[in-house]
Parts: sequence; structure tokens; C-alpha cells
Amino acid sequence: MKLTLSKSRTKVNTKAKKQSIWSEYKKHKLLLLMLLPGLIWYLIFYYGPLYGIQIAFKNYRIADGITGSEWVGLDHFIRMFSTDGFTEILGNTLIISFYHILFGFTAPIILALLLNEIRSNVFKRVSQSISYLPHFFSWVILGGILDVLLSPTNGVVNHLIQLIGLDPIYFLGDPKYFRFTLVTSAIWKEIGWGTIIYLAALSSVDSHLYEAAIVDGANRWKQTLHITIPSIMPVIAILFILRIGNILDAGFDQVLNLYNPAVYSVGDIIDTYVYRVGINGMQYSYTTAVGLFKNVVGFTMILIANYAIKKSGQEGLF
Amino acid sequence: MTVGEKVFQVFLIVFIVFLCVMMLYPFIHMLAVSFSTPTEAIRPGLHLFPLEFSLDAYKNAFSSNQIWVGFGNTIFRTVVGTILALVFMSLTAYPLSKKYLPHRTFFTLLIVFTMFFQGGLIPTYLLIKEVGLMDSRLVYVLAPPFFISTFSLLILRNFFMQIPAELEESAKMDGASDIKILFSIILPLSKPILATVGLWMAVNQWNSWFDGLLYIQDTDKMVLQTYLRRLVIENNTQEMQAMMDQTGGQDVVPESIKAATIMLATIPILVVYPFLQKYFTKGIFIGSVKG
Amino acid sequence: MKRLRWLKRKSYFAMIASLILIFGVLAACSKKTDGDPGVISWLSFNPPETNDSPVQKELEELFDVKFENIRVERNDYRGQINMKISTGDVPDVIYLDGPGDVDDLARQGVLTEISIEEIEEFMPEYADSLREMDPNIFEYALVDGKNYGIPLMWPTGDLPFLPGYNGDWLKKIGYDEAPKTLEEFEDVLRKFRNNDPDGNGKKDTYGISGQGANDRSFSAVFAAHGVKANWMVDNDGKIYHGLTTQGAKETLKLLNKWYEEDLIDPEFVTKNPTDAHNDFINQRVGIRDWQSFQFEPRLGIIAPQFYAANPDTEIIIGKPLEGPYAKNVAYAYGARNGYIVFGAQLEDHEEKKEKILEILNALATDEEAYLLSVYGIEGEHYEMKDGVPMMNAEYSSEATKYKIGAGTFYGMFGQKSKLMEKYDHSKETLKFMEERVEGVENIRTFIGVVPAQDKYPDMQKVADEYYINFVTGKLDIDENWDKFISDWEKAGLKEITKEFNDKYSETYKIK
Repeated sequence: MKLTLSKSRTKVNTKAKKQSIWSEYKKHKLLLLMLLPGLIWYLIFYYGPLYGIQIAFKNYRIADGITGSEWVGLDHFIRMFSTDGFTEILGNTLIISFYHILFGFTAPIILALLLNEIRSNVFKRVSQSISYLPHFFSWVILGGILDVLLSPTNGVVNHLIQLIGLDPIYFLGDPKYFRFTLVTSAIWKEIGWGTIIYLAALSSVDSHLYEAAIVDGANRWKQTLHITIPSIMPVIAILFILRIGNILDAGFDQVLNLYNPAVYSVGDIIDTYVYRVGINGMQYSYTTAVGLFKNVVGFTMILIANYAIKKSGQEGLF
Repeated sequence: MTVGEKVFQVFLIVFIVFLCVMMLYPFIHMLAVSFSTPTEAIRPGLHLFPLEFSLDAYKNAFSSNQIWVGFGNTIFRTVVGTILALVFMSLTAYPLSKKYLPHRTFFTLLIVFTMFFQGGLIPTYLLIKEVGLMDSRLVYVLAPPFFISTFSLLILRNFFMQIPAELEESAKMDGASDIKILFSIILPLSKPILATVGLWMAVNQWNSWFDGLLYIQDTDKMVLQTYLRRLVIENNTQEMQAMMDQTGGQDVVPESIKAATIMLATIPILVVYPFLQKYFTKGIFIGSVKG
Repeated sequence: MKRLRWLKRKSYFAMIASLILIFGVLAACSKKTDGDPGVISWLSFNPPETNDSPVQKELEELFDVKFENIRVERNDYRGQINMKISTGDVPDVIYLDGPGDVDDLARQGVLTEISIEEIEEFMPEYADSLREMDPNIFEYALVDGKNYGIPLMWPTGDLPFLPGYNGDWLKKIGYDEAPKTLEEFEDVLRKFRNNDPDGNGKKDTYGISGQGANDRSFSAVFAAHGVKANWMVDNDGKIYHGLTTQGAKETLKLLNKWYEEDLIDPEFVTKNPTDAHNDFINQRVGIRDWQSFQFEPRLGIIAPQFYAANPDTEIIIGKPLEGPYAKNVAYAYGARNGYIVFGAQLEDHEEKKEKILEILNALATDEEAYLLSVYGIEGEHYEMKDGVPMMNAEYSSEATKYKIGAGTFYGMFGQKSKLMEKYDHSKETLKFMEERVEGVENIRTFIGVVPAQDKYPDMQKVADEYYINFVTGKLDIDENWDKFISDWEKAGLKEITKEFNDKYSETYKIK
């Protein structure tokens, strides 16, 4: 008796659940309709070509096409890991990326907060516009400019350094300083542009909160700590998660234009290695495999970061 | 203001001015070189203004009709591409921002997944061929990485999630549909973020040159960046040097021409930002919560 | 409960199923289209600005064909070619830089064979002119015994790399002609650095600069030791890398000595060739050793810019330095140059292939076609002066020729066909070139392709690091030389050397 009863109850439950999914869809059909064009676009333009990812496990030969090329399984990955010096390259990538995240991610936030404190509207606007100028120049250009500015023989920076009594520093050619140069110049280039999103977030903070805080006697610093920063935390959180997804991107464009054999030991990263390999021939499969490795790591990282951020109370990615 | 706050203001201003000077140098350098003679352009040292002035570099850039063709196509792709992107990213981000959207996590993951796992250039190229976008200006506004930027989409979505639910609830009780809510309530409140995301998309559209090279044959559809890059040979690679030697040196592109093309490539988009700054002013929320 | 989970999965399955459907539909289609047989798709560098340029129109009329211009950028020529053809869309005609490229593409299956007999049949005079310059010309780019490319030679490439000196500075330090020996050279370096040759009261001049670990850096010094920092081959066909020799070791030691004495610009590590040219032009450095053609006052990369900046100073072009192992030896690019290849689809279109060979033959040997493709239309774009075309001012640079469709795109044989060489250089330039070549012996150029190079694509990195560290003194040469060799051998040098010798020894043996 009992068994039959529970069976029929399950049946009723199942039917109810089934109906509830469809009724959920019906209830929010306009919402889903809004989602549909974008979804279809993703399916066509991203999932359509996705089959190409298999060339990381094949030896792609143009005449054979993607489907006709022979399978080699994990050969490319094994080759990558057993390359002489791969540990050094991977290490450099992680270290440089870590510095970029530690300093380069936080710098625009601090600058945005500072810009927010400027009283004069005109000064604020003008300095904002100036600050994002370097973003528009490629590293090819900035590399050339840095060569001049940082020259140990007649660059402005070293001129100043010598004025205060120190020896000139070969920023771009000395392994001791190369990473420092990378991170600092990257900040120089991107800090201004990076503030835009934070300024957008800051402008959405309810000014009533500040008024109330002033009534309570809080000074500007306390306001910043208890109102401003918490208000932009959601933006910081999501930008951080997305940034972590690029953990194996240590800035290819920049490194390619600034590095040289004197600093390979500290500056050679995965992408510059792949670039050199790529020059040598049609190493599509190999370079795809390396790209896939980077992406798997990146995806894993954002899953971890997402979990951690959600645990701390913020909205995550999903 | 307290004494402490006054001191802070002084330091702040000094610091920002210093920062601005450092940020300005590359731009001034390029500007000066672009108005220099070839000899002055390679003079070592700082370039704050041209010691030997010349308009030749700009004359060279404008000597061909193709620059106007390029401008036209680039303006098309920037304006149309940005508008399309804003519309469809908003349409897509809004449902994803609603916790009650069925299978929300699945859809979000579906989209985020594409940020990391892609088929690569070859299959994408084949796809573009299959859907008939080859040699069509539409490829500039419909193909990835344009139309929808996943990064921007997620930012937009999370921003929408921050908007207090009460604002929507009153409208819903009056019987407003999701679309109406999106366009008459959510988007007006999201002006700063839309301006940000729109700016990102516009700049990317403006600077894009690679898709033109890959997908476009018809020179009437070329964009500005492709034209400008032609004027310049980035001879930073060692391989390039041998090639330059081969053409017997008649190929040296003066630094002044390089600088002029960079100026032409960047100045037009630089002037867009000041117009957007009004969207970044505070106080958007005044009146909305109370009402 | 189980039923519930299964149902949820069911809707997931539905979605995944539809995804796979879309996958399949899109993945299934990838046909190769051959295109119109009357249209020849063409890829070389510096494509015409538009698809209706005057030169292209004239050429189309001349040959009764239509050209389709495939465009890539100079900056990343190889990389972009790879990208364009990776999808299977291969142009009919492609210009490639060297045998390595031919090998790569052939092995990918995207080229069609062009037998040597076919070349001799359709381009007889051209083939003969090639053999005259190098009897082995067809052997260098064979892929498994088959030929895929039409070779090009660049006679200017045989001009040696020579040191150019700032004439004023030489006089200032007491030399009335260029240094002849390595010792004199060192003396000049020292005086250029320390004796304020530009007379501005500041110690801001250097003797010489370079471009990192590139094989052309300090070529004159390596040559004085009889070697170059690249692959070499002796007359017996023995192939080895110049950096492994005793001569190279001593050169690096000498360079280190000069570096420690602060005679070499320490920034050579981060410079590229243009930077180093500019240093010489801007009188920051007194010596530039480079391909001597570039010192040609009218045409080169270096001389015209130098004279524009310093109209009263003369560049004194020296001869090779006399050193411990060699007297008149110099680095040279060599005359062997690129290759023209055909896309695989031409395999099924014999007629089209023959037509293209005829067109190429005309471009290489027929006066009308050659002048048109390389220089443009007489009267409109250039004038004949003493039998040599002089471009009108607005088209004088290669960088502007593409506006009319002339230049290296269709004019692939420009300066690369011996039969047309009377049009390439004025009498003055020819005299200049003769003077440079006189009495100089070029180090033999070796170019080869072997599978081991794909296995060890990053072999050069090890050598570059050691090179720089040896010169800057970060690593002591005597202590670390053996480790350098063994590290490098492990990184691929050993295998590549062996494969080179196995494959090419016979070809390069002087019989």
C-alpha cells in the first residue's frame, strides 16, 4: 500500500515540476525573448566555431582540414611542459601577472578615489581626460618613447637619478629592474583609462548617504571608508574576478616590445615564447594547445575567485 | 574644511598635476614629431615642439582619397557598431540580471564559457564565410569581438543587479512589461555605465584593423586604421630590417609620417570622451528612490 | 527526488542537443572554392592601394587577365600569410621570403609542384640567368626532391657589410683614412669615445653601437676573425654555426673588453637596426657597419638621411678589417632571395598554371612588362634618364609606388632579374657598387631547411642570452664557453647541425 501511494505521489510531483518549469518559462516569456537574440548570436559565432578547438589535440594540416588532420592526443601539451626552460617561462608569467594584478589592478581604483576628491569640476575633467591619453598609444610607440626616456646614457629619468647622486639604471636591459619597469610603465599607460569604470560607479552613489554621514559628524576619510568604498565594492569584485581569468596573460604586447636577450631570464613569458615558436612555421596546433592551457587555467581561476567573492558576501559572476 | 583636509587638497593637486605631466609627454612628443622634418624627427632627446617644422607628413597622409574612404567606413562601424552593441547588450544583460530567470546560471555559464574556450581563427573565418559576411561591411558590427562583448555584458548585468528592486516593483504593479521597464527605468538610471561600456565599444571599433584585413577585399570598404597602417612600417622586428635593406632604402618611412598617422588615428576618438563626461556626474539617483 | 533531477537534466539535454545540432550544421560545411579561372589571385608585398590602379589595369590589358589582389601587411608578412591560407583559401601566386617558407607551405599541402623542367620550358632565359649566378640555384628549396618555387636572386645582396665612418670625426682624431686593422679600429673606437670628436665639450659619443644579439651586430669585427654569427659552410660542404668557432669566441672576448672599457654603446642590447642607424646619423656613434649599399648617397637607408642631417660631413666607407684570421672577409646577405610559389588548386588547372608562368616570364624578361610592373607608366610616373628610369618625385619611395600599383607587388622581379639589370641602377650607383665589392671576399651564405628546426623552434634563445651576457661581462667567457656550447647543443644545435650536414653537404661542396 505504502509503495503504491508514494509512487503516485512522485508521479504527481514530477508532473507538477515539469509543468512548473514550462510555466516558469511562460511566466517570463518576454524576459526570455529579450535574451534570445544574444543567445542565438553566441551560439552561431562562438559555439559554431568551437569544433576548431580540437586542433590542440591534432596535427593540423591545411590540406587535410580540421576534421582530416591526424589526432595526437596530448602530444602538444607534453611538448610544452617538457620544453627546456618552460618552468622559467611559466614562473615569469605568473610573477609578472601577479605584480600586474597587485599593483596594476589597484592603481586605477586609488586614482579614481583621488579624482573623486577634486573640488574643481574643470580641473577634475581636464585631468581625467589627460590621464587616459597613454592608453591610446600602442606599445610599439610607447616602447620607443620609453627607450628614450629611460636611456642609461642620456635619458631624462636617469638624469634625475644621477642628480640625487645615484648611478644610472639600465631599466630595460638590467634583469634586476626589468619587471619593475614592466609594471610601472603598464600602470602609466592604463591607470587613467582604468578609472573610467570606477568613476561611473562612483557617480551612481546616492548622495543622500553622504549628507546623512556629514550630519553624523563623519569626516571625508570616514566617508570614503564607510560609504564610497563599499559602494564600489560590487564593481571591484566583478572586475577582479574577470581579471583573475587572465592570470596567465602577463602583457604580451608590452613584453614583446620591451624585452631583449639580456632580460629573457626574468621577462620571457608564455606568449612571447609562443610568438617565437610561431614565427618558425605553421605551428597552429601547438600554439592552440598553449592557448587552451592558458584558458583552462584562467577558467579555473575565475571559478575559484567567484566562489571566494560570493563567500565574502558580494555578487559574483554566477 | 579642516586643516587636515586643506593639506590633503594641496597634495592632491600637486600629485595630479605631476601625473598629468607624465601622461601628457607621449602625446606631445608624437604631436611634435608629426610636425617635424624627417631629420628633426629622428633627433635624439626630448621632443616638446618641432625645432624644424614641416607639414609634409600630414600632406602625405591626405594625398590619397583612401583616407576619406577609411574615415567614412570607420565612422560607420563606430557609430552603428556601438549603438547595436548597446541595444543588444542591454537586452541580453537585463534578463540575466533577474534572479528569477529560469536556468539563469546555465545561460550565464554558457556565455562566460565563450570567454575562455573558443574555436580559434580558422573556424571563425570559415563561419564568417558560411554566413555570408565576407567582404561585407556588416562583418564590422556583427562579428566577434563586436556586437556583444562578454566582458561589458557582465559589467552591465551586475550594474543592473545593483538597482534597487523597489523601483521596478511599482512599475510592475502598474502593469509595465519587462521591456518597458528596461527602457524607461533601468537604462536611464544606468547612464554612467552605458557611457562606459559604450566608450569601450566605440574605441575598440575605432581602433580595429585586423578584421578588415582578414575579411574584406573591396578597397572601398577599408577602414581608416588599415589605411594608416599602410603608411607606416613598424620596423621593430629584425626580420623587417632585411626586407628594408632589400628595397634599397627607398623605403624608409620617416618617423614624422609614423607620428602623423598615429595622431590621425587617435585624435578623433579622443575628442569623444569630453562629451561623455556629463554622464559621469553625480546625483543620478536624486529623486528616484524617494519617488 | 531522482525523477526531479532527471527532469532537470532532460531540459539540459534538450539544450545541449540543439547546440550539437548547430555545431554539426556549421562544421559540416567548408568547401574550397576555386574561383573564376580567368582571375589570378596574387599575393606579394606592398599591394596596390586600390583594385583599379593604373598599373594593374595596364598589366591586365597586356596579359588579358584579371588580377585579384590579396592583401597582407609588411609588418607581419609571414604571420598574416599563414593566417589567410590556414583556412584553405590559397592565392594562385605567392611571393615567399625563403626556402623555409616554401618548405612549410609545401608540407601543409597548399602548394602545387612547379617542376624544374616546367620552369626551363616557360622561363628559359630567366632560368639560364639564374644558373649563371649560381649553378645550384634549384637545389636549395627542394622538398623531398620536388620543386615548388621559382627562385629569385638579388644581386645587391652580394654587396658586403662594411664599416662606415664619420669622416669629420676621423679627421679630428688624426686619421686621414679609414682604419685597416683591428688594432687601428680599436684605437679609433677609443678616440671616438674619449676625445670628444664632435667637439661639443661633452663626453657623449660612442665608437660603435649594434642591434642586440642579431647576426649583423659587429659584423666587421666577427669578419676580421673570419666568421659570422650565423650558419656557415666551408668549401668542403661542412656546415656549422659561426658562434661555435674559436674565431667567434675571440670576437666576443674582444667585444667584452671594449664593453668594459665603455667603448661600445651599452644600449646596443635594446636597440634595433633603425635605432643604430639613427645613432650614426645623429652623430652619437662614429661607426656604422652595415650593408654597404645603404651608404649610397642617393639611394641607401643610411646615407641620404645622414647627409640630410649633416650636409658637410662625409661618410668614409672602409674596407674589411685585417684581423688574426682574415684580411678581406665580410658578412653579406648573399644573392639568394625569395621564391614565387603557386597555390595547390592550380594542380587541376594546367592552362592557368602555364598562363601564370608566361606572365612571370614576361615580368622577368620582357622590357615592357618589367618597366610597367616595377616603375609604372613612362611619362606619367617616371622618366628615362640615360636609359635608367627615374621616378617622379611623388613616387620616389617604394612606400608610395603602391598608390599607382607599381613596385614589389607585381614587380616581384624588380632588381631581381639579371636580364633587366640595366634598368636597375644608374651609372654612378653601379660604380659605387663596384668599388665596394673590389677585393672583398664574402663569407659564404648558408640557408637550409630541416625538420629538426621545427622540433627546436626556440634554439636561438639560448645563443642570444649567452651572446649578450658574454659581451656585457655578466658571464665570463673562458669559464662558461663549454657550458654555452653544451647548453646550446642540447637546445637543438646538435641535431640541426647534423641534419643540415646530412642534407646539404653535397650541394654546397665546391667541385
